[in-house]
Amino acid sequence: MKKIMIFLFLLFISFSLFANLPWQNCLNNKITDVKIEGSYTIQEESLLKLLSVKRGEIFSIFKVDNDIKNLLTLNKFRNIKADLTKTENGCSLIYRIIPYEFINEIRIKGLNKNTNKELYKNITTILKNNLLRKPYKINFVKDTINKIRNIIIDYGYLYPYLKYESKINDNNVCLTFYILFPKKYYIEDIIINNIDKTTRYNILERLKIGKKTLPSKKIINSLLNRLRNHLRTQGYFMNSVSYKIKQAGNGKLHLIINVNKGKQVIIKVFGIKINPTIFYSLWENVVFPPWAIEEGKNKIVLELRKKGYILPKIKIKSTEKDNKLSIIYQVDRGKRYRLGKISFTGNNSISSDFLKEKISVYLKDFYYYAYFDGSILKDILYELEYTYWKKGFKNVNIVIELKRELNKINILFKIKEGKQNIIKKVKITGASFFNPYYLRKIADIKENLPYNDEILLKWENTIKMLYYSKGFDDIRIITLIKRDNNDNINLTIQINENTRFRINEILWLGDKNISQDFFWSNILLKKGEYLDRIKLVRTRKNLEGLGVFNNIQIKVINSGDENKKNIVILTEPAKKSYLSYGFGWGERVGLRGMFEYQLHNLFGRANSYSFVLKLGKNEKRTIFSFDTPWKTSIGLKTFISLWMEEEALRSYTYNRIGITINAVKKYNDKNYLTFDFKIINTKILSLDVAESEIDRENAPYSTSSFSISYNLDRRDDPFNPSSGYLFYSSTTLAFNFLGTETQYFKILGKFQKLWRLKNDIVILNHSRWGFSWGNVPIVDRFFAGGSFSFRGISIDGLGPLDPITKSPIGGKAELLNNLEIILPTPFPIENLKIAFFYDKGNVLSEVKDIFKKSFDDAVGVGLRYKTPIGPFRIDLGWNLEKYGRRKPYVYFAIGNIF
Amino acid sequence: MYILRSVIFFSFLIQSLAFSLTINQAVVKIGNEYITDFDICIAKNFYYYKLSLNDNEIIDRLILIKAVLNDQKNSNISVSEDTITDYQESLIKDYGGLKNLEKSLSSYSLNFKQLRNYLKTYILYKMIKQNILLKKVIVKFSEIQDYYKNTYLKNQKKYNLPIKPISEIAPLIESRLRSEKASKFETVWKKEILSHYKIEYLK
Repeated sequence: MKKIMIFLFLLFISFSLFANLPWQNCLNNKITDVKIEGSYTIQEESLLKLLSVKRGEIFSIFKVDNDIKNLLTLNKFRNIKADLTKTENGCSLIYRIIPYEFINEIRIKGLNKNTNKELYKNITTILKNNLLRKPYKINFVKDTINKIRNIIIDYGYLYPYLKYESKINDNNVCLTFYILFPKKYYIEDIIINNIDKTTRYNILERLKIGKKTLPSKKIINSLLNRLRNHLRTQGYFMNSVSYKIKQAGNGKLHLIINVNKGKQVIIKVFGIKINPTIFYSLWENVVFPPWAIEEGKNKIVLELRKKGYILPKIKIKSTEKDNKLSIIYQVDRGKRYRLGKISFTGNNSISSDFLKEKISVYLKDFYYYAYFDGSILKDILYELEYTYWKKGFKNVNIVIELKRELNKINILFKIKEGKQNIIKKVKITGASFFNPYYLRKIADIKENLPYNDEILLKWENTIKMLYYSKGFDDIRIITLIKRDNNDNINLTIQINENTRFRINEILWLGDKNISQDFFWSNILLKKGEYLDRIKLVRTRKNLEGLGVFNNIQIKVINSGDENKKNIVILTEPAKKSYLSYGFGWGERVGLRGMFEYQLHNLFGRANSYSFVLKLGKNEKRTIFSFDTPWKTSIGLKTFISLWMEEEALRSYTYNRIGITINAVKKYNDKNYLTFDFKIINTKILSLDVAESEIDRENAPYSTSSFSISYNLDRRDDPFNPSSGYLFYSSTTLAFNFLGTETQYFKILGKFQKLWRLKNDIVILNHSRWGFSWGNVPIVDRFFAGGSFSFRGISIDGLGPLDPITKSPIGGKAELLNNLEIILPTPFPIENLKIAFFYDKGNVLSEVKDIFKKSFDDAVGVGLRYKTPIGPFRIDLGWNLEKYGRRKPYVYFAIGNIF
Repeated sequence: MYILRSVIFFSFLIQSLAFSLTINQAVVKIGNEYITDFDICIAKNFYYYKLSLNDNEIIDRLILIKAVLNDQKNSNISVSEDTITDYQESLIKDYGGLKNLEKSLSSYSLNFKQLRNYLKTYILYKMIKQNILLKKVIVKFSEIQDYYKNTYLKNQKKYNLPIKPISEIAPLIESRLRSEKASKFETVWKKEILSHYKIEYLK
């Protein structure tokens, strides 16, 4: 007894020493060593740089906690443990990384294929798809087990036994699932209370439910839903159906269904045919029948208004006897109307034209053909209310009045604007880094503006972005709103600048698939600078633009210094090669196929190599290209291509081999400048025009040229534009270089302008001009004619022709103009438009012929069907110069004139 | 001899226990944030020091704090320095003086500035919660009237107690009804907030 007491006493003493904090022994001691162990994905030296705990410092558990949290935010580890060891001179700290464990093996015991082939297949598929080679997370395994359990029950094995065991070896997890189910159960009998025999028979017969049915939830729910729907059709909307399962022994079950019919509501609608299911939802949870009756009327009105019956008359009669409520809707749908005039009253602050413009998008379809869909009146109301809200009228009230005028309906919007909330005063407090007047200027903060939440948000975001760019990462902005007696608003924007952070370290973690110096040349931030979030965003764009990373994360995490932050850039390498292929049809080239293979980031400099092959009836093109994002101080992206092409056109067939170097200066995606240098060797293979008409017809000839082109696209959509403009211009100089022969100077330009008018009408005008001087080979001349240039002549048929063969010989100048008006069609087919066009232009042998020769005119009509890659066009064009020809030229194309 | 042998054994035991200790690790991941053993210590000693809660109960509360603060990131509620100071003062009082609090802080390698940051988080959570409960938990006068008629009057009569007029007793009834509603609402509200987050237990 005495020995036991001494033993227990000493045991207590030993462990009571550790009842204190686990780091107690290291408080006020120096850290002699700091290590990180167990990281397989990221180098430990890199991770050490992120730690705030440093060798030689006094131990701080607070810093250790921050380090653990910072490292975990990288999302690369499952957990991190900090282990502390007392040493002779202080304490040693090790951060042990616990990596994600992956499930690499799954075993199943109990269930086998012989039990049920389909069930076995289902279970193994779920286990493989949900768990195999995924991180091991207990919650997820449990969810998967529940899924499997439900499937097993659905197969009739009601009481399955499911368990799993895990074996972890390094980071590999092997899961063994034990799946056992003793018996398969069948439903022997189905008892449905409170329902007549015929109904019971019909429902069970339709669902093919009988004996030997498996008690799966799917089947039971299907049965219950059928019952509910049947009861609804009989007017028992407020029914409730529940079930229970009783064991009858020997794998047999009784399914007992209890039905509570509730009140019967019989709804009859006279005067129109209407789907009765529209009333169901109104009665299912109703507590106030008069509401449901009135809402039923509103539903009928809505259905009629969709079809143009704007002003129906509905009489309601309802009677209640025993447990039956009978409702009759007597409907006089009235006439169908088209849209008439739209007018407004009471709109003192906003003009009627402005309001009409706002709602025009809802009404555009109704001006020509369709009966007016009255159901959109609600959307129009919301739009008007939103328009007023934006102008500071929070309490606007708008009532719609409909007036008949023959077969048209005129809509009058009666507006009670209410008081307009105006921002009378804006005060900025708390700003010390920026002058409040400067903030007001940058955020465009003005007084006497209509008040709404959008404008506040805009101001707050602008101020925030300004502070973010200067290192104030923790800025907080609160806007206090006070109203005066006149409902005017006084705002106080309170700025809490908090700390201004500098960058402590910038680390690149992840697979180093490009060279270090190349990577760092794309990083705009520098160690020691203030943390600029705008530069962070631009750095991300730079890295994305290289095309060599799949997943880029830039995390800003705390450092040991409360005024500094660490930036961690995590990357995953992108796929190195791509293969694509397709086929299509072009007006000039006919049917063609395309194959492309790309290889990225060879030699770690984010360059790419591609091989393109295009083959068609009249075309053969092979292009090898190499592009490398050379960084220059003016930011030019460069490409080198080596290409070969062969094309058969109306007047000649040629092949060319060339090398092109281009550099692109991108201002944004739609605005860029391109510089090209080309050396081309051309061989004319066949000629359908006289040799005297062209230069260098047979002997292969070489051209070296330099060109500058500029593109500015301000259209709303590059494929299906309806407003805006596009400008393109190119200047080319061909000159002698390394033995090349051709010399010429060429200017090409295009300008496209679109106007979007009311009622979805678009006017498009496209002008094209080209001038050249010198010895211009046939391949570099201007040709026109076809769906993309002049719709009143055959392909390339505009301009000078060979007197014998009548094939076009091209020209040194061209002037073309295409004017089109595009309208909605009378047919209610979405995305289909009709267009009327007028084309004028010509191709001229010499520039000076512009003043001598006449220009051809063509008029025509076409259909446009909108597709994601541009409109599909069918055009019929008549050339007004060709009086003898009555038949139109027919063109098919995809894409706009450009 | 036995005692000597025991002492030698236990001194080796102590040394082996002291060889390496895990002092901190993450316990729960909620969304993209983590709760560590250290957070539990802080909560135990500076938030819930008046309650005797076990670790799991503290973890549940910390999870809710993180979820609520994340949800209400853009709210206009802020904690003033004075409010933090008031809480700090009551902490000093409960700890039995400034020196005792300082001693406790040093064992967590904390200074007062860092403590105030922790307190700010906790106080902000409480303010947000109170704000939500005030907005969402409404006691109507008809409910007070019903309670007065159906519960108060009956009970007073049953136990032969004096009956006070509704005008006098209404605030008490209101407070009672509010706390009942608040506790029901709180359960639902907590469930709703946490349903937006993926919670993973790491230990």
